[in-house]
Amino acid sequence: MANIQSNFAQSDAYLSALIREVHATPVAPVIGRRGFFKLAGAGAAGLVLGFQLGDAAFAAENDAAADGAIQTMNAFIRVASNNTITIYSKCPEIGQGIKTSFGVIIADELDADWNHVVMEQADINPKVYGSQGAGGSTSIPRAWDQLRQAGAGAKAMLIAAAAKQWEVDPRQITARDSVLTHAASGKSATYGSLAAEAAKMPVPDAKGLKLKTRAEYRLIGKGFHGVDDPKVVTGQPLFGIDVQRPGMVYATYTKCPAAGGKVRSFNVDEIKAERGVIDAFALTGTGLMAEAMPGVAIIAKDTWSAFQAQKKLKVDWDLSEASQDSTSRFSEEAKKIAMSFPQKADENIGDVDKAFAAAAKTVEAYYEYPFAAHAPLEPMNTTAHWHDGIVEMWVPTQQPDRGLPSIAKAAGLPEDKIVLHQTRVGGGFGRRLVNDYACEAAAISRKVDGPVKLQWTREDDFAHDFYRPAGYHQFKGAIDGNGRLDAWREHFITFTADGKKEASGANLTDNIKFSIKAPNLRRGTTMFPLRIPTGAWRAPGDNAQVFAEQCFMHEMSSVAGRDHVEFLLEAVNRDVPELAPKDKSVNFSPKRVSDVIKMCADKAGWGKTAPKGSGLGLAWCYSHAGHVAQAVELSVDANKRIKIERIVVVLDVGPIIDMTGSQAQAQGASTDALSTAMGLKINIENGRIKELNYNAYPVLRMPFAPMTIDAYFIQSDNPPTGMGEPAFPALAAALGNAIFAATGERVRRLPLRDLGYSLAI
Amino acid sequence: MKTIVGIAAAVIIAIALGFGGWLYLGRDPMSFAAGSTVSLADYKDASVAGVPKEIAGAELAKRGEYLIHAADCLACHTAPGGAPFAGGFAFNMPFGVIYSTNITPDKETGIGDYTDAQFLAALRQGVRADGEHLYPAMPYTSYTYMTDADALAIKAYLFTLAPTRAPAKQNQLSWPFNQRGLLAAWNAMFSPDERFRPNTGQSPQWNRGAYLAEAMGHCGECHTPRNVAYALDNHSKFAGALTAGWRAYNITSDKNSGIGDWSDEDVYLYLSTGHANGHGGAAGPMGEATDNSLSYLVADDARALVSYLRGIPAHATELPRTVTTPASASHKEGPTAAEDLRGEKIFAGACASCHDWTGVSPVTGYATLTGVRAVNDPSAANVAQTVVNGVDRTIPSGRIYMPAFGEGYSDDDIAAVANYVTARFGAKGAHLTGKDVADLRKQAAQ
Amino acid sequence: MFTLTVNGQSHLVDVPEQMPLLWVLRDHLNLVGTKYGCGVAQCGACTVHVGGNPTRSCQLTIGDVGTRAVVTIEGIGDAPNGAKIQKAWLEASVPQCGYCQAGQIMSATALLNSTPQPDDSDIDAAMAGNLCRCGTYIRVRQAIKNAAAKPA
Repeated sequence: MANIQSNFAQSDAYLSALIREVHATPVAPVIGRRGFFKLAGAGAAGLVLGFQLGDAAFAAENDAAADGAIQTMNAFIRVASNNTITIYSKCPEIGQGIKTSFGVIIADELDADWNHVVMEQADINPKVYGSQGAGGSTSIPRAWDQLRQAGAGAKAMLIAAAAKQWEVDPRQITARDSVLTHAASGKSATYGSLAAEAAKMPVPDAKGLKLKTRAEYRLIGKGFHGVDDPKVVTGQPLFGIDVQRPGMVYATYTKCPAAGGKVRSFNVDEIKAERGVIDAFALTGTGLMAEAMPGVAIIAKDTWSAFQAQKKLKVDWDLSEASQDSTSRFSEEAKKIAMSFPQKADENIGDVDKAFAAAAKTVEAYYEYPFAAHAPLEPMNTTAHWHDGIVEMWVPTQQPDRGLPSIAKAAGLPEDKIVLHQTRVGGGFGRRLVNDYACEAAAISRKVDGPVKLQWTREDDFAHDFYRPAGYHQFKGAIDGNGRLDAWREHFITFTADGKKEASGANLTDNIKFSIKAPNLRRGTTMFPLRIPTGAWRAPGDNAQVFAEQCFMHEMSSVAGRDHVEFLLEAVNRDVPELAPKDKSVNFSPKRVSDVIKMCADKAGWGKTAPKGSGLGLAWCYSHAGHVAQAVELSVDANKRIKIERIVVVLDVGPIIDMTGSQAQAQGASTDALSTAMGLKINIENGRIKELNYNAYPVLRMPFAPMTIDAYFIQSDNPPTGMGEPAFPALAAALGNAIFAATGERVRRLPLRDLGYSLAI
Repeated sequence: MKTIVGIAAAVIIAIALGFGGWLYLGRDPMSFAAGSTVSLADYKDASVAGVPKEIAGAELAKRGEYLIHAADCLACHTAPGGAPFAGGFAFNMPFGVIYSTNITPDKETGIGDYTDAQFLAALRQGVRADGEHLYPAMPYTSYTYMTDADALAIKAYLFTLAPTRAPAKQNQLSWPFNQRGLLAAWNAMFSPDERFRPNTGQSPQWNRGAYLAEAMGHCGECHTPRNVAYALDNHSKFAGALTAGWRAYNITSDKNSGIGDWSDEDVYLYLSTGHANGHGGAAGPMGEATDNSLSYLVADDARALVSYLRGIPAHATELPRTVTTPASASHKEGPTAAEDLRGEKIFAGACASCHDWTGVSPVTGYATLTGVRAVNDPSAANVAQTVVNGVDRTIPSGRIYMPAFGEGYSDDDIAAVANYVTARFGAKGAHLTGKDVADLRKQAAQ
Repeated sequence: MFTLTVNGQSHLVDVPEQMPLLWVLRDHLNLVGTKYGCGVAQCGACTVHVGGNPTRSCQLTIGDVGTRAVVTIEGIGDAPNGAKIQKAWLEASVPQCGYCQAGQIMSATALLNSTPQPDDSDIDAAMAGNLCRCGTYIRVRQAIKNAAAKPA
């Protein structure tokens, strides 16, 4: 990591200063931001360089700025006279490193000096910024062109200003490290000195901008420190939970432990008499689980008082519409119906029955995996302040833009009366794509005088998640006389919330659909009605489906007596036109899959002889536009304790923006996947979640975590795609395949601890 | 030949009678005490039975409420999460499962139709209203020492409760234990059917304590080992036993394996709050006994119990002397045998935050392991149960809480950490296996 | 009223004696670097130093703090090992979401204080109580080793 670029000063003095600044307000002054919005909103919708510079309101604000002249080049970039460049990250930072990567992309096109770039979180204004969500590993691919245009556009304006001042041909001006130079005349100037003039230049047409080629990148592809890291390591306020406002009070919100229950009454007098309690009231909410469900709000002087009072809360719940879901019942039922293939096929290619009849060999297997909670370490929270006809909010969310309408609805206000500030997010994993807690805070704030921070307890967080749904797969496969995959039949048993389509996160993903290329293929789905809400969970669908599919693929290659890597390469390169992606924007490529598989096999030492009790497993996935192969080498002892010897992950997500961050994502997602496959499950009985804290939900701890995870990247010329998810799905399958290689025992159910497996120390 | 057979038969009969007699003699819980007994009516020193003087003038049901706490009916007559006194609590016996019954005044499923005489017969003779025998999971062999007045005060209290409809759960017993008629024979042997007789050779305080311990609190039901017929064996009175998967400890005066080394104050604190510094806290069934029963006793009554316990003859058992010195602050010092490594890593992650490597908690005295008998018990039964079930008790000064790890951790891991904890903080490490933990879970299952 | 010394500064706080130190720090002293994660000492996000020992502030009541000095993530950089660990964290780019890292750093600093040259077993023992949902364990371990390798 010797080449890691840093944009924070390394001196001890700086660090000490950071440590002293712990009382700093976590967000910029409100008035300034709203002025910024107003101005930004004046620009053409969707246009990157949407600022009409010289707007009177904004100019006045610039004058009032403490450090003098700061010029706004566009919605993403401000240049100060001291040559400090502030770049706004429009998407939420949830640990995926986007605030750093976005800065790098813009700064590279801008040819900015990274050591003097300051990254700030943009507030929410989809009219200016377009999509401002962070989910599905889409932030990078969606913003890639937009951010580069923002950087290149601002640079063009700076060059235009210099050309005018120096009376030279703009094409002869070169930019580097926030300085423009005209070699022939020997003139040079900093961006800061040119910013005022540059702001007056015409905004260039985004389409006419010439963007850098890969060879011209100065920053993209190098390793970077996270831009917020200095604040993280010194404990400065960053996260939603850290927001403090003058006069703030604290709230809990208690919903029915069985999803869908409503408040009939509660012991209001008793609660109001509790120490530190200011108020307590029931809310009916909007009735939608993704918004605000009925519950009881307790407002108190501090968080602890609110929590204490919540423990005394006795609610009479109307359970008539509440969940009665039972995971043990789902498991039993699924197993019972698995062999009855649905009449209606979702996909039907070739003729599986004929293929089975003619097969050299057939294989059947049943796979299942459980519900899972996101359990990000920062429990859900939001601070909201109802004042001056608006609700101003500080929300740790992955989806602020899409949340706006729901939040407005919950607050009973039009959307333009909601002002959202983004905070850093203490873990997303898909949980914060839903803004239910923000909706609750908005509704609560309307009944509270002054700012109020809604804080969920960890138990609230587990009990009211949008869970990764369980799933059950009955497979039958056929091997032809040449040892090739010939037929694939799959009965997928999943869940529906509305009786029509699969519940959120419960559909068989498209990725899976064109990953299994059998010339005879038949898939059918059975859906159980489900009241408990489900949602996107890191690599939705893929995160568990790939385990089932890729382990069964290994069962097929084993029965065929084939080398698994060879079998995979042959299968993925099979031409089955019906399985090709219909959507031209889908970048699935058998070639890229083959490349990652080959490299992964190579790096993992595929083909070497493993000692008894040891095994190497490999699996691949195409997930969230990334092409990924993962290999796990392990040994298993007589007590089913698994010693992970090595994990290799090879990804093709196009060119890497931030190598340090990408490696962190590859390691983190692999670790998360190992943790989830080994131990995590949510049980539901009578509509109630049984696991309510980490004691019952054993997230992997350090002594059991792998010592190293080797990540490799094939940096193709394709446009870059996201890194938050792709390194998750194939790990569990590689793990399962390695266990088979080591022991001869198939693992067809997650988590593996239910089968008696544990990680060795 | 005939003679030999005859002699042999006589010997066998003699042995059988002797053994039977020995069993029979073991049924009296107070025979250990020197002095002669008199009927309660003839005992003038103090009011041994009834409620303390503070509430002597209260109405009948109010007095019944104190007494029902003292007799701890709630713990067994309430299913986890169920309505109080509505029954359904499971007793996992070696021969099957018995469920407690509904004692709310519901006429159909509870005791709403019981007359006083029927209530007394059920409570003290184990005969229910329809004439059938109760299983001695109901401690009528202890309650038999209760006075009429106290028993009927309890009934009066129960009849003030809202009736809860809760039909009895079907017991799951194997033959012949499902034959209730056989209990008549058992009762003839082990059910004394006699009221408390004060001992004039002991102090009034001792007698009050004896009444509370034997007629009301039925301490022996858990703390006294059972004989082959599953009746209490008072030859080893209060010497400790494994009940429902939890170890009820030796509470005799033995200095090593009992509580002979505890100060009176510590015994008093433990009984009244479920915790005494240096000895740890109650969890599981004793935690419930404290929270539902002992903590309600007025100070004089708790001290009377102490006085009674102090007189229990020492009975040494295998439980080693409690280690009272903290372990090293370094994880590397102390037991580091290979078999403990897994336990050490689990302890590091899930336990050390509160219990520390020394065993002396950095956050609350309730979490200190040093000096706790559970960690000095080489069976590690209570350590494993506490890890599985956690602790969640509310006492006047706040909540005593330890998360339950049974859902998130495997039997194997719980065995490993229990072995590690007993080795590191106790006298002798346990050697539990995952299967042992599974068995313990089953015994305590509801 | 309790007198509490945090990061060398004395504070007078008027809170119930049962209030955990965590909430006194966060809500009453505006020291929000110490995080709430689980409330049951299972995640380690709330770790602070009390009398020099790493302690879960969600479990320690203000009444039980006594006269012991409290050091939080906001103040740990003033001590040599704290600063060393913070720098090592920056250099190794440990944080992902960053939420657990204050607790990780407090535990790691306590480790260096007691064991200047920790081996893997020492690191496991000291760090196992700090959950990281993002899975930064590999870099946490590396950063501790890097810090230990630097001169005091």
